[in-house]
Amino acid sequence: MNVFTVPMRLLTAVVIDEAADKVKSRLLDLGVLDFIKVSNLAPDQKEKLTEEAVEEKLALYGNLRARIETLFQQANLNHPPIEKIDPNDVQALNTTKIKSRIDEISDELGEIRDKQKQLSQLRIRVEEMYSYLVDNKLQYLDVRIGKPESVTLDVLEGRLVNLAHTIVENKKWDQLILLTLRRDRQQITPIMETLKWVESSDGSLNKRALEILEEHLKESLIDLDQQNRLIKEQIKQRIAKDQNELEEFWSQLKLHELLNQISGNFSRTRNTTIFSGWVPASKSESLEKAIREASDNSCVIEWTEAESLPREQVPVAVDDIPLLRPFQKLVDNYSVPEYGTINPTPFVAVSYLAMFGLMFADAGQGLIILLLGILGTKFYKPHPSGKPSIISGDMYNLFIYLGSASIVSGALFGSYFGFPLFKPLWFNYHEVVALGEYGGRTVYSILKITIWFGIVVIGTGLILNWINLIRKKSYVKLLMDKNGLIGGWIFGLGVWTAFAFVATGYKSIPSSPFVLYGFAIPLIALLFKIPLQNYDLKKSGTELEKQGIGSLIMDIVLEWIVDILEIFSGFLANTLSFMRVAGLGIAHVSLMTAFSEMANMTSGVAAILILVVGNALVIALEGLSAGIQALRLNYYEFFTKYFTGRGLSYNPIALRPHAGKSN
Amino acid sequence: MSLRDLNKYAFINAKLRSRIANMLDDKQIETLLNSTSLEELFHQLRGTSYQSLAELYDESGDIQRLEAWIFSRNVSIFKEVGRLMEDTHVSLIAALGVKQEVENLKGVIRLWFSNKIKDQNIDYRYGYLYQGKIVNDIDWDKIINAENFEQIKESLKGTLYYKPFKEFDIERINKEGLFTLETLLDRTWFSHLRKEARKLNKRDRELVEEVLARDADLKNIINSVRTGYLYGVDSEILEQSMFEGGKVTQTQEFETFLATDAQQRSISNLVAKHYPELAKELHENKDKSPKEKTLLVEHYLFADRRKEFNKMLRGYPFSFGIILAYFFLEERQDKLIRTVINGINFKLSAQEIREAAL
Repeated sequence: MNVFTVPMRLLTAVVIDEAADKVKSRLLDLGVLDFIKVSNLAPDQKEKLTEEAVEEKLALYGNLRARIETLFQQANLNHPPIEKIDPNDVQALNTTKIKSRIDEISDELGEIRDKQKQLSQLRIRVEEMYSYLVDNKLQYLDVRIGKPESVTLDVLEGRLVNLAHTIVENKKWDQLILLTLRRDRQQITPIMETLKWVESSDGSLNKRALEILEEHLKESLIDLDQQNRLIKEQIKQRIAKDQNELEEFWSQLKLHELLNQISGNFSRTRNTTIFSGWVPASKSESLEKAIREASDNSCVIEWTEAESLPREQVPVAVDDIPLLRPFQKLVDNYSVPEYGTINPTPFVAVSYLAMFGLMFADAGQGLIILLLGILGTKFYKPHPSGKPSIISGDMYNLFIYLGSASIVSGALFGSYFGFPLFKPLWFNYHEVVALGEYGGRTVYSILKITIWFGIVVIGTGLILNWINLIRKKSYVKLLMDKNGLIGGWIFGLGVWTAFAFVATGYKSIPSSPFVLYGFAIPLIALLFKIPLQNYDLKKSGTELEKQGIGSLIMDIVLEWIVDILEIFSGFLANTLSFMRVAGLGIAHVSLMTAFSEMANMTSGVAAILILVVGNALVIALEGLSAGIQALRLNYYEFFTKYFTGRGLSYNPIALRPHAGKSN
Repeated sequence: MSLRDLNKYAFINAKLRSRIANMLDDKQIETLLNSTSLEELFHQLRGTSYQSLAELYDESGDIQRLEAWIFSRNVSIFKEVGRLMEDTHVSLIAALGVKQEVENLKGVIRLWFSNKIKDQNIDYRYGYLYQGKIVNDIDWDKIINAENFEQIKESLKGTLYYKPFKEFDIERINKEGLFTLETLLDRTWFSHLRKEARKLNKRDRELVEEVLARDADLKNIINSVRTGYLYGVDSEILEQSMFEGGKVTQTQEFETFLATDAQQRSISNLVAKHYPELAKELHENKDKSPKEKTLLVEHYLFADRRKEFNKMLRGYPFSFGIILAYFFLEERQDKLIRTVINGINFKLSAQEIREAAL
């Protein structure tokens, strides 16, 4: 495992035009090259080079692919796995054919949708009449019991087809029950007259008719839903009928999109193709071999080491360690480390878990989180449409780690679902919080532990920063920065002095010359920060803005004051910030104690229920809270010490998402 | 910044700003405008607040249901923001929501008019209209099923709309159609809104009154252009249909506009004093057709309004401005989605949809 970002090399290759397509396929197959335009590398050569305009093609392919994905989505189908695409099997793309096939399918679906729309409108009619019946708004309805003198039911239906109505044939009564909206009377009355509707003379049928109609309308709604389901199934079947062909289209479109993205980065002279890009050093050999093979050795390949180019131009890749992927996500979410510096992921993994464990120290509850994580990873399936879910697969993996951390810390503090079921391996957190003092420890001891923990985290951050600065050869910064050696010295001495102050019962700080000179010398040294920085810049060839002596002194003094304030207040705030770890830990214990006492007030099922609900609430709320706070401490107290986040991310054109990682 | 403003607006400001940040951005809008089918459009709307449209379409295949859903979404937005505010601000938000109610009322009355007066079959169309409570307790069923106009008036008793309805009877409706009633309802809403705005504290009142004055100008200019210029409506009717407030109707140019024959009316002169840039633009496009000029005016005024709301978003955060800007942006977004849905449904070209939507 590489603790630092992966070493990169810059490739510049010239191949003969005839070999360009083959080279493209090989490059895609390897998927390790993060292209940069040759014209950007050598702007003075721009006029001699031509670049292929691929934007239109990309838009067309992207559009057709999106349309196919839309069809898949309607049929709840996934697009074919990208791994199945073979970059060496490039077929000529007939976009006209693809478009006309998609149009054809869409038109057929449109016809089915029209039927669905009619059903929807029919439903509105039925719903309105049904709601009036159910809500007893009978004044808006007309109920007729009778039958037309000379026409059949079908004729009657035909004449009323455009109006909201329902007809029930009651064989027992030998009558029809017709329900219409009263507001349509102006249109219905003439129809009834034309069809010579004869109204039943038996008035007693009315009440029963309403019940029959309500039942009938209810059934109609169920029937309409059933018809709608069939239509939706029809849509799915229509798409599934052409699934294989659509999958083939999708794969070819995707392949051509990627190949055209590569083409877009190619520059051409009359007979050759030139391209350039970054690749992890470990992959450079295989890449060179692939290009030579694909071009029959008719190529010129040149490598440039990353060290010879400005650091900010080099993309950053890190080793993909599957076990640490959930933590890699946390880092990615923050930013990209600078090239050549420390990869924060393994350190975040340790500090995040330690923080979470200290805040959520319960082996029983940790076990639940662990089981949730295991079940989640086992049963988690991404949404077919690619819709992001609240909890992703990586999140479940993180649950496994967090659960394990809680189990370990729970065992250390002897807490199992809020009860001291086993003897603590370290000390009894619950008793300390409940009694104020237990086994020689107080709540202050807990605060002290977390402050020490904070000091270790901040100290580690500083050391990592020094390593980064040495690797970056930023020696002035290493010495003078607030997170550099002087800052670190003041932090260390500050910690020592603070503990000495506490040891005297908050009465006096140590008065030894060591403390006085220990603070004074580095603080005075900080006055030389700007002159040293200017000297360093001049040495590296940077032209400095001319400045008068008065203005320079002003700058030095102001910068010095700001630095001192930042060092003292910053480190103090950063360190005290870790007291939240104790705060959340104590809150966790207090909540569990409260639920336990509530359970003690009852007995039997009620007590068990209180404990179950209490544990569930604590897992959900405290778990979330501890997770967020641990993240916050990492982002703001730990990362700010060494992680500038100024890196450029490494984005090779690849078929597989992890094809570009260096392992 | 006063502590009172901070207390009142800190939460809503953060909430609405986060919602604004989640609205469709220019890139997404461009993609939507280029959609060639409804399915594709819905595919693009995945993960946005319009995601339900896809589910609804899948369920019904009925785009009118989608429009109804967008309307009800807008109503719920007003209600939700109203719940987050207190006192006079609740009444003002309700007054803003009255616009939705007026639109719904107009829709129901139009259907009633088609059914009862024009003897047409309205079939399932009532089902697409909102039938819940927006601001007032209105029995929509009673209106759509009213036997006569008097019953409609009766059902609106106790609401803001009773007064304008009282000015009409069935003879007048038969004679004039619904246009006059509808414009009166719009003006009733606007006047009610102005009244509610007066109850706000000084800072909010000034801000809202300024927005309303500009809004009145915008509506009056569009109205003058559409009805007074494009359709050549009589001066008297035109004057009656003007919204109170704003500067344009107070000018001598407006008097001249009214006094001139419909064919000779000049929009450039009408807007020259308060909207010189628009006047210049109209002058540069003087050879265009009246319809094109109308569109030009509408686009200009809309852009002007958008600029104003964007300014509000950048300005002092703890005022009613954030709420107005949010409603404006939501309305604009809804309109865009509606236009794209209908444009695709009627097989309009991407360019035509773009012109109608933006």
